[in-house]
Amino acid sequence: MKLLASLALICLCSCADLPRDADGTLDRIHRLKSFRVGLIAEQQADAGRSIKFVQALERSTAARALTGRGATEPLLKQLKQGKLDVVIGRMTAKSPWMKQVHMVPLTKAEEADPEEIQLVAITRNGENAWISMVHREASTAALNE
Amino acid sequence: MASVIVLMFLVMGSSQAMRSAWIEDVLSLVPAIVYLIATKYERRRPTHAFPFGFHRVHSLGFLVSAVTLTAVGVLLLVESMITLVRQEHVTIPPVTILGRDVWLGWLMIAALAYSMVPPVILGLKKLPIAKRLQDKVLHTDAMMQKADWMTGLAGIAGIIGLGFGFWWADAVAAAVISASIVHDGVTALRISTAELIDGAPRELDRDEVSEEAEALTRHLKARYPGSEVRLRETGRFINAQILGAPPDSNELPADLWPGDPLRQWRLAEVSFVAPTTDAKG
Repeated sequence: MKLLASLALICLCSCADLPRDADGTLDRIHRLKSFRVGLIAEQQADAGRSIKFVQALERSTAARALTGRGATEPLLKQLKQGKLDVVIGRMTAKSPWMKQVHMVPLTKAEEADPEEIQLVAITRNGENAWISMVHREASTAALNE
Repeated sequence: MASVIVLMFLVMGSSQAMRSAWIEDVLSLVPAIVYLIATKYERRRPTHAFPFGFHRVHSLGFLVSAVTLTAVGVLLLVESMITLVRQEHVTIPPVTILGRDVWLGWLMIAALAYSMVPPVILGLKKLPIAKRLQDKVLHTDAMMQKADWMTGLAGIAGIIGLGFGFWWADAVAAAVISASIVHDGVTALRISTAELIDGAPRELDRDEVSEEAEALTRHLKARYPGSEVRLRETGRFINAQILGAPPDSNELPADLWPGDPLRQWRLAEVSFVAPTTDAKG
């Protein structure tokens, strides 16, 4: 019984920092003190929101953003290949990319229409710790609008 | 079970292990529904169109359950294999509850832990009833539910594995769950097929001739020496055919049952094929 309780306690302690990334994205960001951002060619109205979001990520990771710009398809391909950590731009929830990447809306829920193209932060699937952080900063940014 | 199905649906997200466990829980309703429909038809009296009555509706229902289980299990297994081959990574994002971000994986684990309890209790309660009624549909249902705790455990292992960064854990857990569904389905398929092609009565949970049928055969052969005895199952009942011996007009089927008197009801009919008739008919 004592052994079982000890094992349970060890399991609980090791679960404290879950989830972790499949490819160690957040660990790498903390280690290198930088993360790579791709900005899809944006409208003027999005520039402010995108910058605020990137700055929020810099604060929570204590890392520097390395930013590049480009078209949607090349940036999403680089994201899938692990050459970028987050892509920011306008996508619709019905995009064919939905099954291959994870999208986090950067607008408030009541503003977002699933049919419409909205501003999102896009991450690779499976990087659950990094995705949790992106979600947190996106919610905070939306609340502060 | 309804509460388990609803709860699992609400939290399953994009996890394959959760989806497989949810589908298995939904499938667990099929034998119960089939049993209720079959029991209703079984009681109907023979008609001109169906002169032998409706005892075999149970067998048909069992086949339907078996095919459903096997087909869905195979589909899920193939899906898991494809995920592993393609090395697809699963995202389990956080959800906001009362203003706080909570990793959805924790809710999935809680739902899976809850899902382990009702089926096991229901399975344990149904098992003695299924044995008493000699109902294969109910027995299969009870055995599946009794083993449902393993599905929950596999699902939890998959989610925790994902949480630790092992991208393949979810698909492996889904494959394990699917394999158990396929195993249940194939076992049920073998038993139900044997029944529908007039095979000898099988045990409830495996594809072997039942001890009751063996005892009945021995008893009838002793009672009618030199005769050939054939038994087949129609739903929950046994029909006996005796070739090469005349009937004893004073004996009822119940009189010929050698086993537990409480199970005499199983021997529904004893028919005699005259010695000069071609016994292949």
